[in-house]
Amino acid sequence: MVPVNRFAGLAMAAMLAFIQTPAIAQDSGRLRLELTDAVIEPMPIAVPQFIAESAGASDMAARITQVVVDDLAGTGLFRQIQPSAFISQVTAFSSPVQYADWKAINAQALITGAVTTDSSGNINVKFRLYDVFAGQEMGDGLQFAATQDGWRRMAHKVADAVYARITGEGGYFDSRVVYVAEAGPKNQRQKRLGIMDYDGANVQYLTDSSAIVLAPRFSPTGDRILYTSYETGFPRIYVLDVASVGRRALPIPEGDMAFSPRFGPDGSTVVFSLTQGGNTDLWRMSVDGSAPVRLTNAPSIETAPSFSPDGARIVFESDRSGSPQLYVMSASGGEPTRISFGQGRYGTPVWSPRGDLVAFTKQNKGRFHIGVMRVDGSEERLLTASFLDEGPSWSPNGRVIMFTRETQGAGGEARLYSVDSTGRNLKPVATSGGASDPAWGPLQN
Amino acid sequence: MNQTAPFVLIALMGLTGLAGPAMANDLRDISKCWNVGMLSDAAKRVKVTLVFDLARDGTPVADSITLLGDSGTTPPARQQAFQAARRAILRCGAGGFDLPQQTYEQWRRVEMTFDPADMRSK
Repeated sequence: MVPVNRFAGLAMAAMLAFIQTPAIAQDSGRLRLELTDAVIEPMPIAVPQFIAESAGASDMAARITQVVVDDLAGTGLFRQIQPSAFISQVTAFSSPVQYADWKAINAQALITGAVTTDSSGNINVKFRLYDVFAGQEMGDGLQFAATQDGWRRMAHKVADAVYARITGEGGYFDSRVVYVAEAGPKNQRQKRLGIMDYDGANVQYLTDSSAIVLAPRFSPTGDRILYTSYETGFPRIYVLDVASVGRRALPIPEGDMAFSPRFGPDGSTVVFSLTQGGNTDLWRMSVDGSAPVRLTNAPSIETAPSFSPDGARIVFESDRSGSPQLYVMSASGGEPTRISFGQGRYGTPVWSPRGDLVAFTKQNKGRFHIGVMRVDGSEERLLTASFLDEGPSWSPNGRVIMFTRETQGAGGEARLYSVDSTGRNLKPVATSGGASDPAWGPLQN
Repeated sequence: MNQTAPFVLIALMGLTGLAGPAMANDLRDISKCWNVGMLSDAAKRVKVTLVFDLARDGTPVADSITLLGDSGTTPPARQQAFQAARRAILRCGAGGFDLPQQTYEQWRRVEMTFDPADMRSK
């Protein structure tokens, strides 16, 4: 026993108060240790090319494997180990896993898969996920079936399942994004609505370029889109059915201007800005156009409303204090509470699907930022900075934010970017041309 | 990280002055294998305590790693937090921790708490 006198004891107590980690102790024949320091780095994963289990399936197996790898590595949370480093080769889906070989190349997770195709154009994909160092499978194997034109979705579903098992939260790969596709010079820019997979694949255009369109927003189930169009010369809100591309306008009094719509979480309510007599307030109505209700009544401009996931509150932008700031109020209206107090101007707030954060655009000292803050306005963090970043939209799992970044000058072009809510993994989204105003839809069924 | 902390606590607990620091320094390296980057926010809020055995060569006995307790509120978050901690023990221990053979009984069984509270804002 080390002798500890009274003063040494006090000194010891004082030191213990500041001890970080690891703390270590031993009693009952057991060594105790506490760690508080960890590392944050991409997890190395091995994804051998999926096995082609039927004649003619090898090309499809290669393409599906690549999409799975791209999805996972694209998050910045995983790092693909190059196949050239593999010691073991996976030659059959049911082959026993040689864990020692995968440990030797520091693969922490191993994904194996197999693909079958048939003459009717159907594909079956199955996969298994292994925790290499634990020497065991993580969850049961899964399989997905679809027609050949749905092969990318199956790959996304495999990646979503892997992501969920490793991170503990839902994925976002099998989701779509609606956005404004842009073409032409800045002073004559043509805009039309586009819809694509989250990674920029499978683009379809939903409108032509005959009228300016803005701010599309998905319904909670992804089957409808709200957007603003200037085809009458004034902004009006339209509801578009994604499957049929049919659309109708929300009923707005002649001469009024309606814009900045967003669905409520029930999918049957719309909240939007309405300008009447030069003043802009927030309104809500049923998506069928009935039951309009005025939510604010102030001489300032109130816009960019976004519901909380439970539908109880709305965050929005208002210049009632003299400059654009963010406010939260009950979804039925009432006195709002200001939540943004930093320097600069705040706009386009969007409540996260998890309910804990609000993403926003901030302009300060000539720079634009995408940021997040807690819903009470605390813990503001700026995630990006550029000449013009704006219009954040959350991934379905609340982990990633997509937004518009526009470059400076007459030849400046708008592009879509994404960033993790921690500020990591900032990267462009692949689109065939200019793109702005992204709205991330839900996971597909 | 406070390099002196293990010495202080070991002294208080009455362990020998030579074995304690050696054990601490080596086992502390598990931090370098504890990767929380891919965990969900919920999993990053879970403090887990694992207990495991070490073989005489200093390698963790994989089957002995069990969850003793956690602060998780949802099964997925607890599971992912546990898996990340287990992975850290097994990865860093794959080559065997360099621990003094003469004090094997002191380090044969380890109880390790992984508290990611400080990592959530990083």
